[in-house]
Amino acid sequence: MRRVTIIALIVLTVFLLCLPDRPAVAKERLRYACSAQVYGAFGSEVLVVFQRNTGIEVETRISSSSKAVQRLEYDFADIASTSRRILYDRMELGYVAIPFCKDPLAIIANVQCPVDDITEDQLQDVFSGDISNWKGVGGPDQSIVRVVPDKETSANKNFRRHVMKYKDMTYDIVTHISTDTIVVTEKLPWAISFIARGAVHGKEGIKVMRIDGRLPDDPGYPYFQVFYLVTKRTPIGPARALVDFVFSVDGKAIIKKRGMIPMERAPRD
Amino acid sequence: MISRQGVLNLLYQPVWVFSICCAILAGRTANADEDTLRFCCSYQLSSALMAERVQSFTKSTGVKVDLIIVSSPMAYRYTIFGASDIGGLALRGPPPSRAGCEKFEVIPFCEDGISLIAHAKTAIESIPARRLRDLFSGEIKNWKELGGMDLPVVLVLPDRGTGAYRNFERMAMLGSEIAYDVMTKNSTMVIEIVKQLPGSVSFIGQGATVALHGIRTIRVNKQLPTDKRYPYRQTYYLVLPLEPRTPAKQFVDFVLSEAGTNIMKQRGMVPLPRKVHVP
Repeated sequence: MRRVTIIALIVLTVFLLCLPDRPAVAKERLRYACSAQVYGAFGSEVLVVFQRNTGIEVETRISSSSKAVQRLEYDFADIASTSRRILYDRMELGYVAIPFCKDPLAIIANVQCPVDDITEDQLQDVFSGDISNWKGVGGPDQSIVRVVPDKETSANKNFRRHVMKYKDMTYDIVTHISTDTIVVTEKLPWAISFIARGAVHGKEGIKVMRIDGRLPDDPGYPYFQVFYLVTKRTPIGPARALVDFVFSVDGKAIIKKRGMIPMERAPRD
Repeated sequence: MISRQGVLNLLYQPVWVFSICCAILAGRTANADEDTLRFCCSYQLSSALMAERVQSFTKSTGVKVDLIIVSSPMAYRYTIFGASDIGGLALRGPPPSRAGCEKFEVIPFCEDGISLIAHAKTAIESIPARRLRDLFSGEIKNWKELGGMDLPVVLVLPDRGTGAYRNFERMAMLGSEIAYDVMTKNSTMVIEIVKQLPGSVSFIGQGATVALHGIRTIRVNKQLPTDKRYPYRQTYYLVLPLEPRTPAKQFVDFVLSEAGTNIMKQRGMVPLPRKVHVP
């Protein structure tokens, strides 16, 4: 009898040792489809703090804003972020879009470029192709390399609306992901591009240009875009926790630190 | 009675606008100088061969060349619409049935491999053609999947309208979709981007990469673009009217002369025997 008990104990011990490591309670998970601009601007930092504070595990997919909303639509995500207002027909279907942050659309150039200031008209002429040399904006005799995010990205759509006023745009280089414009502009001395201001925070090879003498932090800066969190219905569970966190003191502090403007939460949100 | 909308539609037709622009350009430049050759050339061809050829041509004949560098389809249109005396392109041009093409001859004069180029630090020597398709369709995300270092792949492509893109899509991708991270308007600009971006890979005519530093040419099926069994070879063409102006005729003779073909050989390209293809 004693022998049987010993064998049973050994078998039980071996069985327990073979069990995979798993916590007593399964962690909550959030599937987050994130716009590249939002991620570049503050997403990565917010998510680290959010996961630490709430214990919710976040699975992030980075793409353009439109693709992020598509992931939400097809239930590949619980929440999405976009840098553009979602379409009205989605709102009619019950989607909830929560604006949480205003971010200046920064005009960026390689740090070696001696031109610091450009007018709104000149900027339009550069991207319409009327000005093709830095000489045309008071710089050296060098061809301008226009780096533009893909036309499906919100950065491109917002730029066409705010800066180009829907005039035709030309380009020399297109990047599939909007924040890759930063990588390319960093590498090419005569490049000019545009992207969410928060996404260039701390980038050494890039400088943010003044528009009519104004930097993005200055009053009267003309180009802004709004970041939204989007859910298919009123957010609940981990999605709700992310919304709450973004509007919390910690979330707003990160937004401010990166030169963006936190927005107040609307009562319905 | 034509409606206002109808007039607007006509005005917005890109073909009309392009034709009018070309006609104006043609009228302006035709009177400018009878001894000037208007040569519209693709970026690939210009970098591979023509920039150098044009200088030698002017030196030996005294004919000035007004060189316009655009994509291959644009070079063809410039020539067809009379804004250029001769076009140099990396595409064959439209099918013979296309109206307006019957008065032009197309001369295939040279073959050139399409090089697979990568950033100098990419430690990959060769890639099988099948894996190349996986690479450019976006299935392979990291160089370590091909036995290289742990570095994300950055796909750099020339614009979809360029001869380089169309030839690569047809020959290497067999028509399947190509993914991209960075796309350049001019085909030869991919070289500059690949030099600068670690992990980047692209393709371009082999002649355009001769004597360039900072990039690596990756073999395909263990073959270099200059090898006979290399799978992707594009043909360069000259397009000109059946009754060309004298400088255009002189230029064709110059390009196809022994000295001209020797330069092609030196640059790893294969000169083709003179054969006129009339579309």
